[in-house]
Amino acid sequence: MSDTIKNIASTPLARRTLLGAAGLASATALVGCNSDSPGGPSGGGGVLNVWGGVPGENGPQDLCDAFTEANPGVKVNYTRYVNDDTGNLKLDSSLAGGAPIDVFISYAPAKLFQRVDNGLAIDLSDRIDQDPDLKQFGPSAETPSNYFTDGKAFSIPAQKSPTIVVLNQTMLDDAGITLGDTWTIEDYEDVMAELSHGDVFGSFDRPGKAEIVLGPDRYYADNGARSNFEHPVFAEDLQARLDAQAAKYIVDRETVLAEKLEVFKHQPFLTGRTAMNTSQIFILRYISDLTEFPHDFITKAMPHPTVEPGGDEWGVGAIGDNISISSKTADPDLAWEFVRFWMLNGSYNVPGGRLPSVVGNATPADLTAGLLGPDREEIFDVPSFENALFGKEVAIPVDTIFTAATEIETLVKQYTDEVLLGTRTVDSWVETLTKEVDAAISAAK
Amino acid sequence: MAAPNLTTTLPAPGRGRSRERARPQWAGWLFITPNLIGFLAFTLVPLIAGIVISFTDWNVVSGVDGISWVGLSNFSALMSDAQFWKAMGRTFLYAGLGVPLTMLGGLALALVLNGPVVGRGVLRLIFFFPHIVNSIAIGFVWLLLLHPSNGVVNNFLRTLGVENTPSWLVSQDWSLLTIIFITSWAGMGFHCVIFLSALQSVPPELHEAAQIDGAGWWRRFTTVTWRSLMPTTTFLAIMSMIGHSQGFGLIAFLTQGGPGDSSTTLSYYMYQRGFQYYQFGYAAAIGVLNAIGVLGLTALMWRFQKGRGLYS
Repeated sequence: MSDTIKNIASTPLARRTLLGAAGLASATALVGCNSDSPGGPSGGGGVLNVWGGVPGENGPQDLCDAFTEANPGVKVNYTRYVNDDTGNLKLDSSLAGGAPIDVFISYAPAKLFQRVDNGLAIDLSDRIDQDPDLKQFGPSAETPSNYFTDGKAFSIPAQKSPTIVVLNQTMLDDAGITLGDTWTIEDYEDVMAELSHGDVFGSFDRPGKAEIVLGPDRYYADNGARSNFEHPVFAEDLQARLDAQAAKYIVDRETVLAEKLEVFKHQPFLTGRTAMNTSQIFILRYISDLTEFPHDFITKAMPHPTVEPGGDEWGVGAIGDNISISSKTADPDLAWEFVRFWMLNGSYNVPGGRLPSVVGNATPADLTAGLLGPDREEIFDVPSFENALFGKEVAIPVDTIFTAATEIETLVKQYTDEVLLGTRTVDSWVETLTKEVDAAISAAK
Repeated sequence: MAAPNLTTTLPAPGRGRSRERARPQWAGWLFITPNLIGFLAFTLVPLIAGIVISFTDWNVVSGVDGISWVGLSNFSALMSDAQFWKAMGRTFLYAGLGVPLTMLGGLALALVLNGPVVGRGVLRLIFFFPHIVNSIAIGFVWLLLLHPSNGVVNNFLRTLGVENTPSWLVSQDWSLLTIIFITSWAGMGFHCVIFLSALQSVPPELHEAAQIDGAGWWRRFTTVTWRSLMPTTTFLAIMSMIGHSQGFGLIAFLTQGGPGDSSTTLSYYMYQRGFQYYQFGYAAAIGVLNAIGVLGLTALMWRFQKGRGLYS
């Protein structure tokens, strides 16, 4: 892996980074301290229309209300759009059609770049570079952690979401398994095998190596000119999934499709059908909800396994919640004030399972407490979460190429389903995917 | 009784007379205006817009300014698009099996309910019920019934000794057939009610006369019942074919066109191209070709039924 690329795209989550930053108290402390919140009053009035995909009650509405309180006279209307195909189309047609939207949040990088390429967002590069609290996301930062178009930033990621592993502590105890602070994929596979018995799958799926080995833009070769599926790590990953499925260590594809578990993969974990799941941290929202998902085991966390023990590798996860200012806003300065406020007060969104990209002076313990909620001691192995989220520096790969990205995702899913259902071989997967993705890339250029 | 004074009821000559004639026209326009506005806004304008967009390259995000005219490029690209032809083949299968299955099922139910059946009204309501139930609710119930390992259907098949039970919606071999069956099942009730009302309007004298002439049940069905039902059958066949060519909801909910692309019909492919890939010009071209195909088949059906009905 090139060090240069890694540095440019890395988003470290180390303790030293956390402690070095400024601006935030813990989630609990922030709620109710709106007037002291960073972001500063604008002094003027007006109306801001903000579109985001997170339900207002999970944090955004409180954040908007806090902005209004800090900026008397400014009214913020938060509109939630569902982050699916039709929801994104609704946002896009509204933006293109001139509906009153000042600030919007993109969740998929491909959608963000589509909006930027079509002039729907304003260039924030100068504002970010000149802002001491946010300049780490600007194009001139030493290690910027953001998406760029022609070297310019049109959004700021409000969230970073490392992928972690959640484990059923009761099942671990029953199997007599004790885990350290880190592990490799081989360790993971051993644990997965040991935890599998009867109707219980050791894991929902087998974690892949491709993202760790290849880092950003893993689907592309030659700087985006062609596909990269001929790289042996893809075939190795798929064969390992097939083997794990055949051994009943992971949930079989038939069941995943029949029960739509790709969307609801927290369900088999919380009903004791799987002993482990890899997931981004939004899963914590479901684990905390004992009313909707009653369960009596403690959930332990581990960091995502690595390929080599303690190796200098890419982490797994994503930066996200990319907040942009519409190019049609009547008041870009006010909109920028709001964006700053959103970035610097991200702890409002912590109870909704979102780890802010600007953590200020909040400690890992504060943030972990905010993410796990008030009943954390009864539901979670809290120290293990602190270790999984903040114990090891994680460089999350940030993709830079998005040519035919949606088409590629669809093709990968389609042909992977076929392999896992037994109607296509791994070799055919490589051959067909290479051919069709190359064609999609050519057509999109 | 005195004769009425006709002169007072005659319209006055000249301008007044033309105003009298004009008044009913205004009233007519007034009555159809709400519907006309709806038709223009929600049918005609989108229809024309769809046709125009099929000749363009447009991704919505660029706004109206971003529309670029590409002539017949979308259509020529479709001709060499293997996915399009595969989706076309599946749509033919979907309609080719689904339409007759729905109609035969509806007709069979109607024939049964047209006879001396206890609780006919209740049964009619039961059979009609799937037609008024939300398709997502229908899909959800069938998802549970057809679960490959825990579903009622496969559990039942296993009790009968079937070892390799189908995976139904999650099998590339079975997914489209399963969707055809579910769609037909959901549509049979509507067809049944329409067939039933048509059956009840067949004059009983015709059956009596045929019976006196020695015609058996099958002969009476083919010469009297079936020929009387021809206009209704044509109507239902056309409506059902249009419905199948536009079939989307159950496919989107149950399989999202998969596994693989095994249940991707033209409608779902159009959705993928438009709503997922933002290739709205290409998607509109698929829609236009789909509509032309349906129009052609409708014309064929219309021609086929001419002269075959009892009253033609």
